[in-house]
Parts: sequence; C-alpha cells; structure tokens
Amino acid sequence: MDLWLREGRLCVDTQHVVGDDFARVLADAQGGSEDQFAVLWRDANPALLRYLRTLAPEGADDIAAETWVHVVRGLPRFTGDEAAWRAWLFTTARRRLLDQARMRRRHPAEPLDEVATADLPRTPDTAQIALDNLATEAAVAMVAQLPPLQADVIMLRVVAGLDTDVVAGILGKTPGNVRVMAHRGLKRLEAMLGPAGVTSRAGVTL
Amino acid sequence: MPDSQLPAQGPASPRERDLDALLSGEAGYPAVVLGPVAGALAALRAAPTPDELYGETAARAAFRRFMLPVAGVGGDADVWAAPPPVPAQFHQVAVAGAGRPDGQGATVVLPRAVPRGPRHARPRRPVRWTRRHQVMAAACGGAAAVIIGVAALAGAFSGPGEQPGRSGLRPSLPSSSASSQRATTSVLGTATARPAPRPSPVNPEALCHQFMDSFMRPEPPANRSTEDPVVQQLSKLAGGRLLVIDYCARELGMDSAHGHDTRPPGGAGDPAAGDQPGKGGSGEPGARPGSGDTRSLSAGSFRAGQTAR
Repeated sequence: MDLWLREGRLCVDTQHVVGDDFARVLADAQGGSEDQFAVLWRDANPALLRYLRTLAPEGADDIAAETWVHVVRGLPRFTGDEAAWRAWLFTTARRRLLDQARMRRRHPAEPLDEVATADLPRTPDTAQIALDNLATEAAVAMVAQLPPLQADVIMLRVVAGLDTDVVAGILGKTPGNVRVMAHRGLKRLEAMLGPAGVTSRAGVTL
Repeated sequence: MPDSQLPAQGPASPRERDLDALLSGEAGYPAVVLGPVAGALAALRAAPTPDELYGETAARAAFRRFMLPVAGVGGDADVWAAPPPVPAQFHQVAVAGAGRPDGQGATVVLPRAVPRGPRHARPRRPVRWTRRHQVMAAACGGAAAVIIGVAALAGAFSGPGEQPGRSGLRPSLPSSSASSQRATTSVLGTATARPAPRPSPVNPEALCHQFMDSFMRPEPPANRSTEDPVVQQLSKLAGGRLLVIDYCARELGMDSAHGHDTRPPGGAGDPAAGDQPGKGGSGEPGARPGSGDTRSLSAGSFRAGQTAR
C-alpha cells in the first residue's frame, strides 16, 4: 500500500482526498479561487486519467483536458458533496469519451509510428509486470484488457470511488448488473494474474 | 426466519461485502493478504504519478479563461472576458498569461474543445433561419402557383367577349331552325365561335364575302374604288367586272339556279336563311352537317355576319 503526504494530509490512495473541506474548497473555486480549483484538480485528475487510460488509451489526455474544460464551465452551477462531485466529473468524462469514440469512428486515424496500449499483446508479460511491480501503469493496462463494460465498472468503483448505485446511474444499468459486471471483471483479473485467487478476510474465494 | 435476517446470497452476504470492500478499498484489506487481484486494485488507487499532475498549469489556465469572467474576480476581468479568437484549425492553442496582474504568464495548451461551444453555436442559428426562409419561400411559391393555375384555368375557359361560364364545346347540330340561331349566336362572339376566317386572296368565296360587304356598305358609290384588289381579283375570276355579281351569287349560292333566295344578302337576322334542310349553318365554315353543301354553309355564315353587323 502506498502512503503519501500531500498538503499536510496523509493519503492512502486517490479517493476522497479533500474530505471535510470539500464544501469550502468548492465554494472558493466557484468564487474564482484558482488555488482551490487546483486542489480539486489534483484530487481528481489522477483518477480521471487512469479511468480514461483504461478505456481509451490513445486519447486519454485529450479527453481529460476536454473534460476539465466542461467541468470548469459548469462549475458555478454545480451543487453537491464530494461524492456528487466525483460522480459529475466521471459522468462528464464518460460523455466526452463517447463523443471521442464517435468522432474516431467518423474520422478514423491510425498512428503509424506507435502502438497503442490496448494493442499490446495479451501475454503473461502484462500479468507478470503487474505481479512484479504492481505498478499503476501495469494495473491500468491489465484492466484495459477486460471487456469494456467490466473495465468501466472496475475503474469507476475502484479508482473513482463511486458506489454501486452511482455507477449504475452513470452506466445506465441496474445495481445488480453492476455487481455482476464487477464480479466478472474481478474473476477475469484473477485468471489473468494467476491461480492464486483472491481470498478475502472472511475466507471467501472470489 | 425473521424478516430482519437477510438471505445468504443477499446484498449483505459475506461474498457481497467482500466484493464491495475489495472494490472500495476499505481499510483492513491489505493487498499482501488478499492476493494479486487486490494488489492490482490497490495499484489502481496508488498515489499520483508526476505525469498525472503534469497538466495542472493548463487546467489553471482553463480555469482563468472561463471562471474569472464569470466570477468577476480580478481587476482585469474585462480583458479575460473577451479572449482572442482561436483559430479553428488548431487542435491545441497556446494561451499566454500576459496581462495578468500577478504576472503568471505561462504558455499552456488547451484542447480543441475550448472554442467548440461558440463555434458550433454560431452556425446553428442561420440554419434555423434558413429553414424558416425555406418554408416561407415554399409557401409563397405554392401560393403563386395556385394563383397562376387559377388564372390559366380562367383563361382557358373564357374567350374574349365570351359570356362567363359558357362551354367552349361547339354543338354539332343538324340543320334545323335552332341551328341557325346557334350559328348566329356563335358568330356574335360566344366561346363556341372560332374567329371568322380571314379572306384569303385566292379564296373566291371569301372574296365574294368581302365584295358583298363592300357592296352593302352605306357608302356612296363614288367612294368605292374600282381599283379595290378584291374587285380586281373577282374580276379575274369572273372574267370581267360586270360578271362579278353573278359570279359571287353563284359562289355564295344565291343564284336562282340553285333554287335559293335570290335576294341580296343583308336581311338582318333573316331566319329563312338557315331554315332550309341541309343548309342551316352551324356558324362554323369548316363544319359540314347535313347534306354538306359548302356554299349553303358559307351563305349562312355570311348572313350571320350581316346579322352581327
């Protein structure tokens, strides 16, 4: 587990960094405070980039920038807590992702001098990288090999920190369907990582 | 089983709780214990890498670009409210911070979506107006077409001097007393009458008509020109000027050899002209009902012409 210090606060992951100060930070950002907006951005952008790199590795940075532009434009009208903020942010990102996918279908462009992450060979190398390093990039690349819906669910649940109902609302699915997708995604990850399986604290093997 | 207890496979089952805890990264699920999947999920939640925080400057620039004019913060809000136009062909545009009071001048890259809003909003309004104009033009064109069509129909069913509503169909009636009346009526300018045939110089009948017309004019004989081309042509046809009257009488069927009325034409509205069977004109020189005597028909026309006069 990674422990890191940011702005005097001990953080264990990318979720819910702002915490209790979120209302004040949001109000200041809506009032025009660039520094407070930077706090929101630093809180959410890593998760946003990982989410987008999983689903659209070739254009994640552009989509993230476009997402932030939309968020900034709609920021004065936003109301809600931190969970609602993250839900709004990832909903916006997903819509931009779909727009980008439509645009790419209409105007296909294949880079010749680079290989996208999604086109990397599905070999034990990826799993080995994940096992050896557990690096974020390797984990993202591994989740990117899942079916899109399963990867979407996994990333929204794990990286964005959204609960099942919110993810169901974003994806237009039922909560039960989201649970099924998450379970199938984890099982597939387990198969990719190795036969060790995932054993929970209660001794239940997923 | 009491209702408060949830079923084993319900949302609160151990399997569901473990799944939710694993996905949400609850404390107490260290990756080293849960295995490689939990480790991978923990890696997904790991601390940000430097490249993930690289675009903060661009985000700040976007924030300044869009938020400061809205919030009204800063003394140079007017400057930022009207950003310079961004060329549409650029996917990324450099935004300089020059002019800021804090001196935060930085060149950043903005995505293409920045100018997309106003650039897309502009052409939509003309499209809406163009559609409205198209609808109006189509309506005006349709109204004009209807008006022209009505005018064309009115022109087709009404001739000059025609009584409105009269049919243009010409009755082809046999010779009878009524046929003469119809012929007279037709010459008077109803829709059933074709224009009177213009006398052809080579048509002796027409020449005779013209001669008779001139003969019946109430002009003094001194005014009649003997050099009239009609008279000259008839003279040629009849073989001399003195024979013109006899020639025309024969041509018009008014000589006694045919048993017709030898009176000079000109009886206004003479009903006897068309009463004879087979000689009642329909008013049309081309029509030959009954026995089909062309001369009789022509005489009927002639009389009709006199009547009209």
